[in-house]
Amino acid sequence: MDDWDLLQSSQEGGKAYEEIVGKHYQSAFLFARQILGDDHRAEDVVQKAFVNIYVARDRMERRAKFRTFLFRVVTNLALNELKRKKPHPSLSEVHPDQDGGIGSSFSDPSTKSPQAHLESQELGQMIDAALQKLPPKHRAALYLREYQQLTYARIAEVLEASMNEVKIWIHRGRSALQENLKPYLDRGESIS
Amino acid sequence: MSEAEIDLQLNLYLDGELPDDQKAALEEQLSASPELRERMERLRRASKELQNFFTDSQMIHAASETDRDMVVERIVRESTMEARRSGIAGANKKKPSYILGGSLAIAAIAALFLLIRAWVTSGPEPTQLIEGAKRSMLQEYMEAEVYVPSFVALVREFNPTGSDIIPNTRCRLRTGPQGRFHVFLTDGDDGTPLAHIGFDGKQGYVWRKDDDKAQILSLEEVRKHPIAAAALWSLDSMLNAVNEGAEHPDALELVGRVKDEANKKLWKVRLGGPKTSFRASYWFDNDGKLRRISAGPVQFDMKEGVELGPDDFKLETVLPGMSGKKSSRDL
Repeated sequence: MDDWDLLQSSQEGGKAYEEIVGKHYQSAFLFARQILGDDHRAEDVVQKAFVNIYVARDRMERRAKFRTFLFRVVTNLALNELKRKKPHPSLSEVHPDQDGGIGSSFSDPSTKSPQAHLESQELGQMIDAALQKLPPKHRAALYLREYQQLTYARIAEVLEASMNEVKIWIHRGRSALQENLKPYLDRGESIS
Repeated sequence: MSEAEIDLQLNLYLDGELPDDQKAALEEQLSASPELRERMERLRRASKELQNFFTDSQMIHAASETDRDMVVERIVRESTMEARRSGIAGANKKKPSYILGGSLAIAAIAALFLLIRAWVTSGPEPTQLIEGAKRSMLQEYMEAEVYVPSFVALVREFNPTGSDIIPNTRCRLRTGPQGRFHVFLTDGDDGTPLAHIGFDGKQGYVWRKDDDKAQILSLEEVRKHPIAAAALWSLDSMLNAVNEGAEHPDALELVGRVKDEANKKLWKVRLGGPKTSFRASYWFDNDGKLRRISAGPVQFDMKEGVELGPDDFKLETVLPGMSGKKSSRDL
């Protein structure tokens, strides 16, 4: 039984539906977070995506894998959310009480020298800053490629874009990143 | 080939997306040009750093097992509620044909005529009223005055050692999507605010009279607060009363027209008899809207015409100017 079968067989939010939500929530949340840059808004968007899918489950056509379809719904809702509300703060501003947002915890500090740890923090913040400057779809495309390891065709499917757009988004995203990381890349060493 | 085109080719090559013929050509160029190899290497390193960044941020932001279970439970609950609301609102969106549509329209007019005649002669149909009550209770946002003969006794059920709730307390409860709620307690004699307890979709808060700051809590913590627990238990009782009525239409009885405290005439329906062990009463206005519901020691007076939104559950809205503090103080 695949996820679509499970979804369509689920009645009144039973175990089958719970299983689907449990299986895909985390990745959908982290994906939404990359687009929105905010935990709370990402949670709301993912919840809304699941609710919308559940309510319309009897009318849905299986044109894609469930996960691809879920990510597409999340993308649309997240982009609408960005249009509706003010731009989000950068990830490093979300937890100002922690010294520097996610960059501050970038890689396991216990395995590095203090110097390497500092550089690692700085690098994380630079990547974060570079990502926040990108348009949301560029950021989403980079995440789907680098973390989810999706092919360009699947990324195009998720983001409802053409292959050419995906190629350009990933290319521009990496170019911007290289520009921001120039001091590290010039040094020719990897921090991680 | 321009610099940008070369970069694009290198990206496609890195991701395994370059067609075979172009791949062979690029590999030739790479072996011949140290400069191109250096560009490729920089791109590869940038990509690697980005992967590490995403992996680390995933680890930092991954929810704990407990959090995830709670979120999954919440999503399943919200989905089910939303599906019910859609079903109640008439989820069948298929368009009838014109002939069928015409027939349905005639049938609907006839049914409406019979309904009005029945209403005029013998009052509304209890089962239809209960369906209306279900709609009221499952609205996205709801506000009600909660009456319990002794709210303090109910709160003490959840907090046996509590002693600081005065006996004559009034309670207003608001609920909204994504677990939002707000309980507002006031002194029944002079209206002095006694407590605000709520969850705004992101954080919970508790403020009690004389507190200089509100306590900030998680959803789980705030739902366990005795006052919140008492109010939410009352809400569950009311939901049960409506569901029980909907499931046992033959146990419903239209009592007749009664006057409320404001001399407004309401239709009263009672749930009882041998078909169910549940006892409840419901009051409806002339439009069939639920105005009051009572079961056991609890009574809800439904507020009409309130337009609530997410902001109405936030601490800064319910207590303007009040700041919050995270605290492990005993509730």
